[in-house]
Amino acid sequence: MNKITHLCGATLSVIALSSALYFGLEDIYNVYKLESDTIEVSYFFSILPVLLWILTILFLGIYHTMSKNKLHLSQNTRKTLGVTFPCTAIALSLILAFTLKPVFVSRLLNNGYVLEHTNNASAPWRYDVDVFTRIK
Amino acid sequence: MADLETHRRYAKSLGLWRKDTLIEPDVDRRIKHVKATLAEKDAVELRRQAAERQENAYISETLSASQAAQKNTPTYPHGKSIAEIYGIPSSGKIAYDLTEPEWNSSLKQDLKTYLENRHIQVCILSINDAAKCALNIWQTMSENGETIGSETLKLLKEIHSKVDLGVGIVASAKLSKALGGLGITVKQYFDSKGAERVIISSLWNDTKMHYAVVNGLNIKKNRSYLVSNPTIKQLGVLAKDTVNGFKKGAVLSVIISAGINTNELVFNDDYHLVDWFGHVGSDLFKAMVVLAVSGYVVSLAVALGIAMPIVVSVCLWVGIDWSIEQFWIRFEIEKTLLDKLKNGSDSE
Repeated sequence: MNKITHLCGATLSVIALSSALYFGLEDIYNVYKLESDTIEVSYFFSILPVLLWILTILFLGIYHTMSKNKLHLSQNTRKTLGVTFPCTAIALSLILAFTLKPVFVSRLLNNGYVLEHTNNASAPWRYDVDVFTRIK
Repeated sequence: MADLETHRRYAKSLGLWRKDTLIEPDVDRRIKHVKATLAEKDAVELRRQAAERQENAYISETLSASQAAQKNTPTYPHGKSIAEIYGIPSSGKIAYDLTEPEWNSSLKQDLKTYLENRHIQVCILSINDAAKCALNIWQTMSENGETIGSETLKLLKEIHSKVDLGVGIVASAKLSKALGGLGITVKQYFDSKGAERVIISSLWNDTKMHYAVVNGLNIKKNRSYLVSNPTIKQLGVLAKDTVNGFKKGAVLSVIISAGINTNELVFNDDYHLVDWFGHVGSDLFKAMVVLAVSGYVVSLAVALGIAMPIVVSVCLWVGIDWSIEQFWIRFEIEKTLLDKLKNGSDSE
């Protein structure tokens, strides 16, 4: 029963977080390639470093709980995963959010896109989504 | 002898002699031939003279015309081109004139699109008209099911969201500060006897501070406590307490979401019970997924023996919440859920 619960949690977490990683990368790819007529820009891409950290813990933890060979992480690895990695990821996320979003917006405006509307965030700690469309 | 030779050369020139042989031995015929040859020569000479006269006349006419043109040549002022003097437009001007209408049209279109996208209506009313307008807006909002109740609930939801996150961050920051700084970590582990224990320590292992007083509780750092210790339970720093905090916030969010949707159900004629179930169900499902995933990741971190600063755990929750929200938006789960419910209720 414990294994089944772990399996369900692992499946849900892996699908949701891996999809989120893909969506974040897709946001950046869309702005880089400019192939789509409608492009959405938000701050979501900025949590990619934090997401990488969470996914690292997730995959290591799944391996640890599911396999017979338990992981024995060294003190340095634990410190890296618990302190260095998340602190660096949060700092990197903040830098990405403050620097990349204005670059994305100016790139879209310089390449024939206009801001069509903004989807307001459903909660204060979430992000607004700016929808840009190509002028025909 | 010389005369004979001269005559012979002349006769050759007239064609009477060829290779020292006289062609026309008959005198009469020779005279005719000579006359014809001379007549032909005269005609050639006359034609040449006529051509020469014609050429001379043409040259004199051209010369006189050129001289006349030179006499009538105007003098141009220095530093000005002929195009400028005679008002001939330059190639740049011609190109500008040609493209100006298209350019202006495109600019006007761009300006129109820009202004339409940022259209703001401003209405200046007298006090009486403003009162009537407010009354009409009120009636329209009531017909659409938007009442003071819904606005209040939305405001309450926003306040709750801000307070919930704010209290979480402030509480974790205050706790960390009281324990000695933002680098305070809480590590849970099982000892050799199988009892679950917890150690509160600092990333920097400061030697000055070994004790801390948090909310009236004395905590000793770098000392292992049992997780069942009342002090530790009251402190609320265990992974279980973190997940419980997430749960309380999620439950309150769902209650407020239900309140907003119930208000819509009562006052909005176009809002049916199936919409209520769709929206509240989606919010409930989303909160459950966020809880499940964040709880699972926190448990895995504890299982791996990873101790992270208290403040960082809030960022972990925010990261997971954003990820699930994005997942919800991209796959349109709320809309899909609502459509399925509507189709199900219609088919019955």
